Amino acid sequence: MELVKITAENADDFTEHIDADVRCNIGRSFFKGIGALGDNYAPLGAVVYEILNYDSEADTKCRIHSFMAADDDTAKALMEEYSNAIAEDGAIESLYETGDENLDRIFSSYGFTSKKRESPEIVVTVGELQKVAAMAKGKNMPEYIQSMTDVSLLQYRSFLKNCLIKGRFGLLEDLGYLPLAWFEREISSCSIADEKLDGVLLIRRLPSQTLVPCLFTAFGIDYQKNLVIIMLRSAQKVVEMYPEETRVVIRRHSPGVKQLTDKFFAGKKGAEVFVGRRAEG
Amino acid sequence: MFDISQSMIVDVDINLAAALLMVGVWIMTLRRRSTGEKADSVFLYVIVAALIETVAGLAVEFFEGPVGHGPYALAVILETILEYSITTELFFLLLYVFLTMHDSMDYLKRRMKFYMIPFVILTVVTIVNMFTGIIWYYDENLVYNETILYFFYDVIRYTYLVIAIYQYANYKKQNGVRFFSMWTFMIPIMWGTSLEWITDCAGFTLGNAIAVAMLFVMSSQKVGFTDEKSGFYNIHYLNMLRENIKEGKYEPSLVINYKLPKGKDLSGFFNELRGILPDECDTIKIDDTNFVTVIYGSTRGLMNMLSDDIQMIAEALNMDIKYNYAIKKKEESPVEFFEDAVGVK
Repeated sequence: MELVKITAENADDFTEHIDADVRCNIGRSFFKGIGALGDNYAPLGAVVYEILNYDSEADTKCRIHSFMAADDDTAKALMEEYSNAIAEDGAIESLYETGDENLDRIFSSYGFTSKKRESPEIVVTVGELQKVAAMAKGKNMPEYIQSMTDVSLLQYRSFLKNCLIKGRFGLLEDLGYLPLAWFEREISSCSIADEKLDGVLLIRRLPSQTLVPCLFTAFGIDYQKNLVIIMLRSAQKVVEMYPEETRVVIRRHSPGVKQLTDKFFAGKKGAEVFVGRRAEG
Repeated sequence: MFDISQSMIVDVDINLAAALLMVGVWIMTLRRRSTGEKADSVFLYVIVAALIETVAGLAVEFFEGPVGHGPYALAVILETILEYSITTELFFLLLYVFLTMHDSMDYLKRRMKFYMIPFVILTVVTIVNMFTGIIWYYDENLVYNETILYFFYDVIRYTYLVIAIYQYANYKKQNGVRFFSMWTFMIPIMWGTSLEWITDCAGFTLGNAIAVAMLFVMSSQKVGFTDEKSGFYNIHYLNMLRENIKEGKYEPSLVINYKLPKGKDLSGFFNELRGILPDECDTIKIDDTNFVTVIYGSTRGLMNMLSDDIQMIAEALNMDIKYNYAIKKKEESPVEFFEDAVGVK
């Protein structure tokens, strides 16, 4: 068995072992993958993980996003290689979140401890977003709320720097490394003051067509009001442009986002998942 | 021509002192170089309104009662100018505080309608009062009297001051405020108002003039710490910053040192650099070719972006710009990090 680094060039060799929505992240600055190859270089399994808190004063951690192995030997080899790789990055803890009980059992056998709890992610459909979009109907969208298609690279980069300095990364550990084209610009929205961005909702479209709001933040005197208008504009655009059954995955990573989702999608709960961790080093 | 009472002498003296103070501040503001901030342009209106207020306050002393000087119309016009200049000053003071905090014309424009409503109402009421005396009036002896509506008139215009204080407090809670303190302005105002309540002399005018002079002193501090050529801070600011870091007011997390080429026009670089740096940072001129940027807050991924941008500027301007940077380590103290990174002890 041979273990290889998974890169943007060879990621497509592992289509059976890594979900397309995870695979599309390979190549990002802090996303790494290890693949196991058998005879004739046939893929046997893969693990994809993300390094968290890299390049910061906080402790480095790793989050496993995908793990699949054809057999126990492959799983063991992948886990060993994973442990060695993250030790080099100085990670002190590994984390995962999965709804798959079998996968949780595999992780447990490698020293992870897990708890079953409600996932911070909720899944809504574009159909369900219609009632949010309806709130904006008949109201004039202020001129300073715009689509990200109208935003220059300089404006985008300036805003990102302000986000980084304020420690607002949304779901994106590598926010400072991502190009504007990585997001779905038409449905992503922003607010502008003095030709500078002061609020954004950046949405990513995954290969499965699932939409993921990745960064939702605003600064300045009107930030609370702008956040709501930005969200309404994006909801309107999503409803206009995507079929009703399109999934939107919202990760409630902050109290602010949780408050909004509780308000707009009352009663909506995240799936039951296993949240596991293991101390490293 | 005039009956000169003891209280009139006191009021004339106080108003004269206030007027002279305002003339001095006005001249110094005109002579002072601008920091380029949007609040600077509004500050002049605050001073002019305060100056008109003191001059009108001084002049009206010679035309109003208690035993009647007149002419009546002139006394009414001067008192109207005095009252209206207080309203105007408070209005511009709010705009000044707003722009000092936010430095954004767009934010101001979005609020302007709301801010203008009381101003328009007060303007109309002031004009109507000249002919009707519904707010204040002079009796047959040219003695100044206020009606019950004057209280509401005051409440409306002082709302500007309350909003300014609220905005300042709100902003200060979330961001650091440099070279400005609302209390430095408020204390003389409160002192003047109390003096007027207790002694019935023109204490408010003097307190207000001192308050505006204090605003001038605070805004001049920034000019003194700014390098004229580059528009960035000068070496004096570096020393003050070091003291502030020692006192724990600021915690630098990233320092970038630039070495710029000698004998080149650097104005293009300064403009471009200003465009790429994040909002909350200080850039300081050490000498003609050495500059340093101090960044506070999180630095994750920031240097990756800034390195690209600095290189892009250097290529675009065809300039040999050397730079290095230091990121604060967990175990380093802020002072130790700052002194090592900037190279000062």
